[in-house]
Parts: sequence; C-alpha cells; structure tokens
Amino acid sequence: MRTAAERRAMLTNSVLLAVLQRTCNTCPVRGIKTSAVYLKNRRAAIPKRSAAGNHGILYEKATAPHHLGVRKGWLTWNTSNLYGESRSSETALEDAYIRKLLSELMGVNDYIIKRKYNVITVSAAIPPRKGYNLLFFQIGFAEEFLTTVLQCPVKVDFIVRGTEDLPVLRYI
Amino acid sequence: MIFCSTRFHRHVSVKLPASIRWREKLAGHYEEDIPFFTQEELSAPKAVETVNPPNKVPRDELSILQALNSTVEIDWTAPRYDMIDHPKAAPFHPVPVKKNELSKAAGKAAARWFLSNNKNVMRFNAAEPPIKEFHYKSFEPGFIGVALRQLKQPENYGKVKHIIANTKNKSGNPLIHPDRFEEEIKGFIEHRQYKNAFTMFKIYQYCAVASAEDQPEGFRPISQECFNRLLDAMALHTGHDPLRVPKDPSEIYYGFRGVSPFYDGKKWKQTNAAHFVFENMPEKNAWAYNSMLMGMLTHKAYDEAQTWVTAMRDKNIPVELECYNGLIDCIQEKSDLAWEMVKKLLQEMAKADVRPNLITFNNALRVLVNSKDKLVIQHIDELLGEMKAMDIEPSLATWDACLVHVYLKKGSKDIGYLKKIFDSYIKGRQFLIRDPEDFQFFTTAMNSAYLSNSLTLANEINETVEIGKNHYLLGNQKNTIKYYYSYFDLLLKHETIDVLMEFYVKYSPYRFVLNAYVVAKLLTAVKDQQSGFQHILRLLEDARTVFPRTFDVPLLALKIVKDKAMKKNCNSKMRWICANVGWEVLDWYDIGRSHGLYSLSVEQIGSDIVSDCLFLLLNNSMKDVRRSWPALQIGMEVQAQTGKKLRESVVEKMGRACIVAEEPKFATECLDFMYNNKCLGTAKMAEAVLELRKEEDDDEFPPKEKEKVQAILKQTKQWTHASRHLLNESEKGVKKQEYRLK
Repeated sequence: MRTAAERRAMLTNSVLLAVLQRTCNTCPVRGIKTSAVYLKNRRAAIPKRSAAGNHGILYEKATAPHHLGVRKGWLTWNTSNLYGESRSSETALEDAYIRKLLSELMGVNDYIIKRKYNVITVSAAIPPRKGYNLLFFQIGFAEEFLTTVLQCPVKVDFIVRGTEDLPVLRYI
Repeated sequence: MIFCSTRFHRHVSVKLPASIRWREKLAGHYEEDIPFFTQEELSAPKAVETVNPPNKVPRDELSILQALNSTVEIDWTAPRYDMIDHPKAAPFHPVPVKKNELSKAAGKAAARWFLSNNKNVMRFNAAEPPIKEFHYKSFEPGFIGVALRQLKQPENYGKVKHIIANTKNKSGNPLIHPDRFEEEIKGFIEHRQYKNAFTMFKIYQYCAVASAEDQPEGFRPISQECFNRLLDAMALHTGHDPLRVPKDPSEIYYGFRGVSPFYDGKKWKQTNAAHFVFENMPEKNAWAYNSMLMGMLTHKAYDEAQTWVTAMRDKNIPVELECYNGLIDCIQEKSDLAWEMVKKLLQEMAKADVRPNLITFNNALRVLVNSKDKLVIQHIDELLGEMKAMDIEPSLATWDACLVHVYLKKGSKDIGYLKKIFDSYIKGRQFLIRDPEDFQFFTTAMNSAYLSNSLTLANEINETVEIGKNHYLLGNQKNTIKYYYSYFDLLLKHETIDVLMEFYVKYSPYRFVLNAYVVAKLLTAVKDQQSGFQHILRLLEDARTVFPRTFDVPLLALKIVKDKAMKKNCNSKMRWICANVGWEVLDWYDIGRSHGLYSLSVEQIGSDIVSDCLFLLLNNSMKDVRRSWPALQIGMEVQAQTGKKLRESVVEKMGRACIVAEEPKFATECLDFMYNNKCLGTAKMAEAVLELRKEEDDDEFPPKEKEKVQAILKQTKQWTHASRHLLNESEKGVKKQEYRLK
C-alpha cells in the first residue's frame, strides 16, 4: 500500500490533469478531428489502472484472459465438450440456470461450477458479513432446490474474502 | 491470528516410507544395524496356502443399496468442518454452530416447501430417475378421491356399480378394480401412503355395504390380516400421511422445538380413521383391541386408554406386553397410590402370564421416583430384586432412576451409593442403548458426583465415558453441556490452573462450552494461584472470538494484569505477558468502538482503559515507542470523542519514553498533546525536546516549530496545580460566555 503522502501527491496530479482537460474542452474548436485514425489493437478484459490506485477489482477480473489456465482456472469444469461426449448443451443451460439463480439469491455474480461424476459443486468468493445465519439459510435453500431440480447432488461452498461491500481481491 | 493457526493446522506425525536408494546409502555406514533380506531368504521357496473361497450368498435386488446404506454414518459428536473456509464464518462456539446448522436446515425445508407448492411451475418429476423396486404403479390418488366424492352424495345411492366402472384413467383404463382391493390397500400401506389407503378402504366399504344387485362385478372382500395391518397403520397415524417434510438430523440433535421425529402432534378423536376401521371390522379380535390401545397411548389419550382397558377386562381380552408398558408409563399419580397402581398392573401381568421386560421395570422405577412416596427406596430394592430373579440385566436408565431419587430428589451427599453402583456395574465397560432414557445416566452420575464433592469418582466416570463409543451416550447437546459443566466445577474446586487448562484445551470448544462465567472463573483461578499466568493470553483470545460484543471479560483481565504489573516481584517475562494482554484488550476495544458495539457505560471509561493499556506497554519496555505509539493515537481519538482526559502520569511517561528512544517527531507531537491536556510536566518535556533536537538542521527542525516549542516552555514554566485549576475554570467561563452570546 502507498503512504498517505504519496497518495495525496497522486491526487493533486489527477486534479491538475482534470483542470487541464476541462480547459481544453472549452476551446471553440469542436467536431472535426484532424489527427490520423488511431486503430490501436487493444487487449480486451484487462482493466485500466487508476491514478490513485484505489480501484478494487474482483476475483474474476484480477487475472487477464491470456493467464487463464496458468494463474487461474476456468469458471466451468466439465467433460461434456470433449470428443464423443454427450449433453454439452444441457450442461451449458444448467450452468446458466445455476448462475442466474444464485446471483439473484446471493448478490454475487461469479461462480465456479465443477462437475465430477454426478456431483455438482458450486463455489464463489463472497464478502464478509456480520452474521452468517442468513448465508447458511441461503446455502441450504440453494442446495436443496438445485438437487431436486437438477436431480443430482449439488454442493455449495463459499470463501469469504474482501471488504464488506464487495469481495475485492486487490486494488489497482 | 495465532489462535486460528493452532486450530486449523494440527501437527501430524507422518512415517515416511524408506526408499531403496536411501537404504543403499545407509548400508555403507551401518551395515550391521540395518537388517536386510539375504539372498538365501529371497530364493527360498514360499509356503503354499490353500485358499477356500466362501460360499455364494443369495442376494436380492435391494441388497446392494442396503449394503451401501450401512456404510454411511454421521458422527454428531465430532467437530464440524463443513463450515465456510474462513475463521469468521467457522464458529468457535457451539451456539453459533447450532444456529448455522439450524438455519441451513430451515433453508432446506423452505426449498422443499416451495417446490411442493409450485409443482406445476417447474418442469421436473420428483420421482425421476425411477427405480422400479421403489415405485408403486397404481399411484393416482386424485382420481380415487373423485370417485369417493361421487359416492358420498345422496343422489348417487344405489349407483356404486356404475360409478366404479366409470372412474377411468386418462387413457381410458379403469382405476378401481373390485377384485384387487386387498392388494391395493396393502400396497398403499407399504409405501406409507396412509391417506390413500384410508380412502381406498372407504370405497371398499361402500362396495361391501351395497346390495347384491348394486355390488360391482368380481368384488372380493379383504382378509382379516389386511384388516389388522390397516388398523395398525390407522392407529399409529390416524389416517394422515407421515410428515411431508422429514426432520433434518441436525434438528433432532439440537432438540429443535423439542418434538420427536415420529410424533406429529395430532390428537386422538372418536371420529378418526382408526375408529372407523375398527367399527367396520367383521371380527374384532385381541389384535385389534391391542392396536387401538397402542394408538391411544402413543397419542397421549390417557383417559380414553383407561376406559378402553376396562372394556377389554370386561370382555376377557388379553392385553399385550407393550400395552402394559405404555399403561405403566402413563401413570401420573404422585401420591402413595402410585406404587399400588404399579403393583396392581404387575400382578395382573403375572396372572395373565405376560412376562415383563426391561422397559416395564424402568417405566415402573420412573413412576416411583416421580411420586412423593416415603418408602421409595424400599420399593426400588424390591423391583431390583424382582429383576434379578427374572434374569433381566438392568440398563443405564435403571441406575439413572435410582441416582435421581437418592441425589437429586433427596439431596444426599454420601458418595457410597453411587460408588457401589459404579464399581459393580459400570466401571470400564462399553454400553449399548437398550432404553431411550439411557442417555441421561452419565449426566446424572456426574451431577451427583459434583453434589457429593468427590473428584476421584468424577475422574473415573470421565474415564469410562472415554472408552470406545460411550461418549455417544451423552445424548444431545443439552446433556453434554450439563455433564462437562459439573465436571469443570469440580475441577475448579480441587485442581490447579494447569490441570484446568489441560481439561479446557482437550474438550473445548465442541463438548465444553465457553461462556463468560467459565472465563471469569478461570481468570480468577489464574489470579489466585502463583503459576499459570501465561494462560491468560489464550483465554483472552478465545473469549474475543466467542463474544466480541461484551466487554466484561477484558476489563477483568486488565484489572488482574494491572495488579500483577504493579507488584515488585514482576519479572521481565511477566511484564511481556502483561504488555501483550494490554495490546489485545486495546485492539478489542478499538475495533468494537469503531463499529459501535459497546454500551455507553463502556464508552465512558474508554480513556481509563486506554491509559491502563498504555501503562502496561510502557512498563514492558520504554524504548519500543513505535509499538506503543498507536495506543496513544487511539487515546487521542477517545479523548476527542468522550471528552475525558487520559491519565496524566501515563502521558508524561509516554513523553519520557519518546525521549529515551530518541524519536524527535514523536516527542514533539507528544509535547503538543501534553500542552493541550495541561500536564504539569510539559515544561520539563519542552526542555528535553529542545535538547534532543539541538543538533538538527533547519530542514529537519524548522524554525517555526522551534519557536512554538520555546513559547510552550515560556508559558508552562510557572504552571502549578492552582494555576492549572484557574486556567480550566477560565476556559469553562469563556465557553459559557460563547454559549450565551449564541
């Protein structure tokens, strides 16, 4: 973490920049751009670093796509897309169903769904809370509901991470 | 957190397999010590054993499922690790564990309720994937109900044949087969669909009563055996299905709502299904009477049961053993008549050649103990002698009843009776459950050992609980907590703090519950005894995890530690412990304060708490200012909030510590704080600061700051107690004037 003095210095820089931008925008020149078209090939899904270094990112966005499978795993683990395997569409639909249901129930969007034999395990990082009774109620509800609807044992596991508002992994 | 690391990572000794290469390496050095296989041994022919394969066991279709079911078992007494992987969410105390488990069970029940109420919305079949062995084919209850509703209407009297022929499936097949009533009813009972069985029986009754012309073709009356089975089912369940949402095992363990999973809370009525079946039976035999009696006793209709028994006596119908057991159990007489009633029933059993069993005697003992008879001990001896004569081995519940009478009711303090029972029947043995009340024995035994104040016997009882699976017999959570509390209280009276802590580490948190009372007792034990001062840290950490919202325990700990630190014999190690305790309490207080957890009374003494902690930190080492500086910062915040000043001596000591440690920046800040607080030692402090920063440049010690310090020195040189008092008064006056002006 940066010290308070460093942060203050960075903040003043950013304020100055903002003032400069405002002065540029108020110029009478507008509408026409004389510079060449800048078609830079930007990589997707890499979040931009903030000036103050206080922009929190979640687990899902913490690693870039080209690190997928190196630093971080996938969000779904199953073998239905392999050669000769069946029901790939069903698994995709079920996964979407699980994601939709749990995001409505818990308020967290990123879930890892893993299938092994006939067991589905759903896991996620959630923000810490004051009391955990409601969370356990939700876990019980989700497990029972999904086991009856999907007709196979479903387990729901959570890791508690981050601040009280969001499961922030780190700040950039 | 130190506490968490000890909990989650246990030391496990692992035996590593010795690899061949390692052996070869060692062989060069220690040829004689390590035994190797010689070549002769390896080449020697091995003895050939004859193998006798076992005979084939005949198995049916369900045997694999039954075998799989037998392998699964839940150990409810074991610690739970199915919590979320986080020290905050994985609770230390059994009470939040209980809360979490029950809320999980509640969530499951809610899901089941939601699914059962919205079957049409969801596109799934609960019976999929089908297992043929478990599936009952003629399960279409809705259509049967329609047929019954038609039969009930007075317009349709005399049209039974017509209605039964017309109740058809969607595909047009007939639903009710008049020749298969018996099989249908038996099938419904087998699959625990008692409501459907009863409706089917009602339809059967319409067919049976109908005239010869109106009776459907191929009608076959049901047998006596089928009647008996139907009556059994109706008497136990009174025509209702068993609970649709079965209870979760965790709900049973924690005694949620205190209701057994088999009793659904329904009342016995004269117009229920059992009475309907009984009245329509062609032959009312002894079986039928007895099953009706059992139904009344299970539904706690004791008055009706008594009248039923008198009716049976009048008709000379024999009563079964289980009914006798139930009748003894339902005696609620508490005067001297209780023994006579028991005696009468036992004599009746002897007349009718019904041999009593263990549960008969246990029930009789329980009735005796609950009554206020003066000769209970004599009657107990009589019953025990009777049991001996009949070769019935008494179970734990038998001894439990005896102990309850002697120790809990009579209040005896003689240990002889308990010791006699314990040494001759219980010591060093493993037990199985033979009576549902067996769960009570160990708790009552430990309680009576506590009442008679004998630690040796309590230790022996605890040793037997540790043998094999005896600890299962502690029963549910309530009983286990009771047991370990009484054991702990005994240890508190007699043992040293080290033994107490050994017990505490072994059994907490899952068997022995930690609460404010226990921690307070342990802390006072630490205070009174000379050894074991180091345990105070662990106790404080545990207490913090269990009840972070109450601040009684840390206040007590702070008081104890402060008394120790003030004494002359306080060595360096103890001072270190005191400082750690101070830091822990300060951290605890600060976090709770920022979240607004504490009451007003705790917040008002905040400055005292912080100054105590600061004193402990400085008492440990004056040079380690960087560690104690945050404590002063917290103190500043508390002072700004509450308006109460920190203790003057502690603030001055902090200033001295800053100069000893040669920290100029901290020293100047501390000087400012002292000046604002109007401490008497500010002048000395200002001099010391000027001396300390004498050789610094203008960049390090700017002239503005220097002038400020010098001004403070000038002002405060002549400060005395009296002048400070005047200053304070004048400040108050200024404030009052400002207020008036506003």
